[in-house]
Amino acid sequence: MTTLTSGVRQAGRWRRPLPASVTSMAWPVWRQHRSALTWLGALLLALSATMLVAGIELHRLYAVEIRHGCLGSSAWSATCRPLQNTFGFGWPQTYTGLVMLVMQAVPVIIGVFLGAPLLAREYTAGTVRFAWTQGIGRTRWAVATLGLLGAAVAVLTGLLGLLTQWSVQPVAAQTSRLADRWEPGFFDSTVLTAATAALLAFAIGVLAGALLRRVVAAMAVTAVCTITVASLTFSRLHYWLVGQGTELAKDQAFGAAPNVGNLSNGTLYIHETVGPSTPGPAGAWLDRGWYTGADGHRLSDGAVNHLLDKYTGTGPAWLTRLHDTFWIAYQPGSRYWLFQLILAGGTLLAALLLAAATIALIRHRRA
Amino acid sequence: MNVIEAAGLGRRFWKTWAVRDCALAIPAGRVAALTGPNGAGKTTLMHMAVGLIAPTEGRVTVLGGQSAGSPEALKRVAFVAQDVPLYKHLPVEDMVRVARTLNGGHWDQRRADKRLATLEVPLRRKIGKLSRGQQAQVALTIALARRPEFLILDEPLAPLDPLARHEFLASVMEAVAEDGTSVLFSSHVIAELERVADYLIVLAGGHVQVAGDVETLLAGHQILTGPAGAAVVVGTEFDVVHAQQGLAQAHLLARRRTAAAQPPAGWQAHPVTLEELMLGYLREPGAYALPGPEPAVIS
Repeated sequence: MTTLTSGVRQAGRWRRPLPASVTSMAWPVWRQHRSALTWLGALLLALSATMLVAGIELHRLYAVEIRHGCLGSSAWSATCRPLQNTFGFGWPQTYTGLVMLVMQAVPVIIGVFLGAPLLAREYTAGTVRFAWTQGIGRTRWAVATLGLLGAAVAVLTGLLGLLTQWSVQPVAAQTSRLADRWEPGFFDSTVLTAATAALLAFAIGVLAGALLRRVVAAMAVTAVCTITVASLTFSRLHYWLVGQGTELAKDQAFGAAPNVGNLSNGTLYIHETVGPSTPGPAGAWLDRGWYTGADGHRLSDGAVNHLLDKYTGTGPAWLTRLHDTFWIAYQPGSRYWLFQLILAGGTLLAALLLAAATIALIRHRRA
Repeated sequence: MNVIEAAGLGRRFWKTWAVRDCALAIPAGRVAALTGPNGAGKTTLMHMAVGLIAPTEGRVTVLGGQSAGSPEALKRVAFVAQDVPLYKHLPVEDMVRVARTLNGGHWDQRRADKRLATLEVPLRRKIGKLSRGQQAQVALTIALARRPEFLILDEPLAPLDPLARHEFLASVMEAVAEDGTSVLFSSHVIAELERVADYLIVLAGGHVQVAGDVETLLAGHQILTGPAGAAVVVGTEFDVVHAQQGLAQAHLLARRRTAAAQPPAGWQAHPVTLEELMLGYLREPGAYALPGPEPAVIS
């Protein structure tokens, strides 16, 4: 017997997969999923090319802005105005909106077209009876297939995330409202979070295929599940996460600014990053804020509305004169990558759990 | 060594038992044919033997005690499933290369190349575009390139025309002659089975009905011809498996209790063919012919 045999000599249960067998699986995995990977690669390449072209142009405009000192205090000069209008109202706006949408769609596409058919097609074609009776054994076959395709997915989408971050950076630098790095659309599209979101969608697809054993049904269920996960992350989980462990600060200037946030039960939900033109700690995520009266108690909805009715537009002095204080709960900018790691780590953990469930299913629920 | 040993083996799908209370011990070095009516549990039995499905009760081992489907067993047992499930979108040469990597070091590329060349299979053609006979031959080539000690084939002949059947079985027998490979194949094709099998298993309703060396089985059975009506009384030396009553004569498939068993007066004994033997048992699902006083099971 060859060396391969000795590692798994003991009969009975399955042993830990050997790394050598996983790497040798690269060719068969590639050959079998070549067309799916080629289509996916072509799609990602087209997106990358678009982002590259747009990114180069945006960085060129940004360089002009910097040369003329258009960012910050000397805004709205004659040279700067057209540039700032372009960034603020022109094609970069459409572009960032589209990029955000596309980056949410990429994991769904990967889950539906690469993940879901992966095992479902083996079941419908009956080829599991071939694949699982070869010398490599079904566990190592599954670990190698999922591992290699997962790695490819993570690398491709990670690169796409890097490109996204780079290409929208000049827009984000204008004002926080345009391409806010703390906002879900872009928070979810960095090198870390884009890769892990794609991995999770891939794992959802593979598990759906293993459970349903039908290609179309698995694709449909995967589409529903991945879109649900993406939208829940976008609208709920993200805001909850970045609102955890916030720092507290008094900010009279912010409290005196118009349209501070959405009022609910005395709390104003701000959900905005501090930019060059907004008050607050630099680069921080402003989560929520509230007013307190002279007695130190938080003002109710009615009191806040009453207060804002009396707004005179005279700046922070107006608020201080009323003996009211504006409090702001914010996430310091320095914590950005910590929160990136938390979201990416949590998503990766979920993906790994689903993958482990799939492999357990393959091992124990037989063909 | 036994290539398959099963004791109390059963598999239930929802509420139906596909295989139940199955005891089997096929010795090594045989070409064993597994037959039985549709739905008798042939495929289920084979899938349990290669570990594709787990038994609901009892156990099955291969190659002298290896647990079915374990890594060690998978290295030494090759299986060609029903309807030859290969990757239809792959060209032959890529399919063979995929199979090679899925078998690590246990692969004889020379044997694969030689067989494909002899069979004149177009290497660049996709599996799905090959004839059924060629697909079966490619699947067999992949199985044989693994140089298995035990080859399991599920209905390999069913989709093939007579010529392709002949060629397929010739390939199997060549490997048997070359490596001494043990073979278990399921089939309904009695003529082919008769030609190559030296061990027979008849499965009915999920139970093993007949198991034994073909020669022993043939020597142990006779066709008795005698007057109609008196059919049941053939003395104490025979067990009647199946009785066929004609107008004047009765034909009985009878198992001899001893080698010296003689037909009673007025009855004539003829040797039995494998086909007569199989048909007799298939018509009487309640009859059994199993080796020894107890089914030989070593576990």
